[in-house]
Amino acid sequence: MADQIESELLRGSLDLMVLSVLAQSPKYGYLLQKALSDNSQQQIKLSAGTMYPLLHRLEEAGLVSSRWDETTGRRRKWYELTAKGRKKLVKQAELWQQYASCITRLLNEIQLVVPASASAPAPAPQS
Amino acid sequence: MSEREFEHYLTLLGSMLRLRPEQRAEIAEELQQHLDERLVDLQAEGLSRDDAIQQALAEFGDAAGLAAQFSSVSRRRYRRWMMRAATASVTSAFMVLVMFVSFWPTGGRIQLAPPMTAQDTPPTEPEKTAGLQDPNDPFANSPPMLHSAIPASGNSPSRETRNARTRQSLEERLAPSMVGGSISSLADQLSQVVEYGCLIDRRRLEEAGIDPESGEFNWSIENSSLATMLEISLEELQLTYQIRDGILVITTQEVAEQELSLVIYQADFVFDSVVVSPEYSAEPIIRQLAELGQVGMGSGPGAGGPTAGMDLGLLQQSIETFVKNHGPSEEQIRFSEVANLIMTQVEPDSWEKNGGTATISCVGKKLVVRQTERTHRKIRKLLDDLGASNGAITP
Repeated sequence: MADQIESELLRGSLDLMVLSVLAQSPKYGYLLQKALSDNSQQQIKLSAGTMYPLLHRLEEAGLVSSRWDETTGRRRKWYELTAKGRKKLVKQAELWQQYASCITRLLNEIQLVVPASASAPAPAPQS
Repeated sequence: MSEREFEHYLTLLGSMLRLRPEQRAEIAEELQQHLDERLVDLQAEGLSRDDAIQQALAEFGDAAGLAAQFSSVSRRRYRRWMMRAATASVTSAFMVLVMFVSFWPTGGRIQLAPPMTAQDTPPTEPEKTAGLQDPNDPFANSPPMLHSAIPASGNSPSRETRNARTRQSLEERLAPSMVGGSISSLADQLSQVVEYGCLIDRRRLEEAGIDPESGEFNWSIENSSLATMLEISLEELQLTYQIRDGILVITTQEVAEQELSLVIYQADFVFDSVVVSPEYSAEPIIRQLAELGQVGMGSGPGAGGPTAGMDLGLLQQSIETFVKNHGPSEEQIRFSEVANLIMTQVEPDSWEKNGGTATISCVGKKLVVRQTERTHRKIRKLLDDLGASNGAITP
């Protein structure tokens, strides 16, 4: 896979990723962005322009809650997982695992076949 | 370049957010914090101040796109609020509505329920004038439509009933023939025929530079409805009509587009006729995958059966569960089909989705539409036609 996971794949799972990082501890936007990047070995870079609307949407859905806090020396908006959010995370994660393992199986199965048909008629062009 | 860039960006963003001022300020503060921290980090990485500012902003993307995303969060909130209101606090109101509807016969045709049509023309707040205040903002105003949809109790007919009666008589009455009348004489003649009278929105006409004493109406076509006559004659003068509290009001097209009327259509038939496959099936996909495998196996030497050892049942189940949990619900599918039908057939450009101001949503099988009176007429016709075609098929 490329250095960064393709955006198409990312889109379907953004909620799940944000929820899972918030499950570790409350975070403000910038910190969350960093944590996501660190936890994924820099494979996931969530742009600020995507993250903030996403956070607001999750808050709207009651999955995270926010509050302004200055105890860290700066006034920042901290986000925290709610009980509902935690429940959702567990459920989504389970489903995701299930789905991912199925796709993996599927891809493995198909790989057995692909070389036979792909090698002869359409060899990958070398640049 | 300076930190002013941030300020400019945030100001620009703020001006495009269709939210309350406090909400806007909060978003701006949050993003400002982010930009400041990002700037420090980027500079620590060795970027020049100017480059760091550029990059920090680039990471946010263009302000318009971001504003649209934030605003759509707010619209969703509004919709959810509406649903909650509909299911909880206004349950009783809906009970009244349901009882009301049951008085009208519901056959195979689409029934438009006259008592439920409600007009909502807030005189003080034309929709989307400055573009700054979101008319959908749940906090700005309590949504008027649920309240206005409640038939008023008491002896005098409710506003909704009056509006419905006027609409009905515009359709049913025949236009008198007229020769050489002015706008005001047209209004006088209509006042004789329409139950609640006809007025000219003189102030708005004057603002638009139209003299009510001008205009030359010539109408000699027999057997046309009042509504058709009005539409065609007023169109020539760039005028149109509204219905306010049952009163027929002649006004400018611009005003009519700002002060939309809310009408609730009982559209069971249309909703019911949308074909929704009862259960999503992953079978075709899996079959296709299997075929793909077959092809490969056939042409390749010594390949094993592609489906051997693969738990197809589990795969199918998993895909179906996924779609069930993440795909749209049956109600959503039905509504989006119906809404798309109406939005493509009737004045496509006037809808909010396409940059206009009109909106469409649903509560159960009722369509809640905010549109101009003229376009409502087209919607009514479309729904009637759909109902009529249904009537022709079913015995």
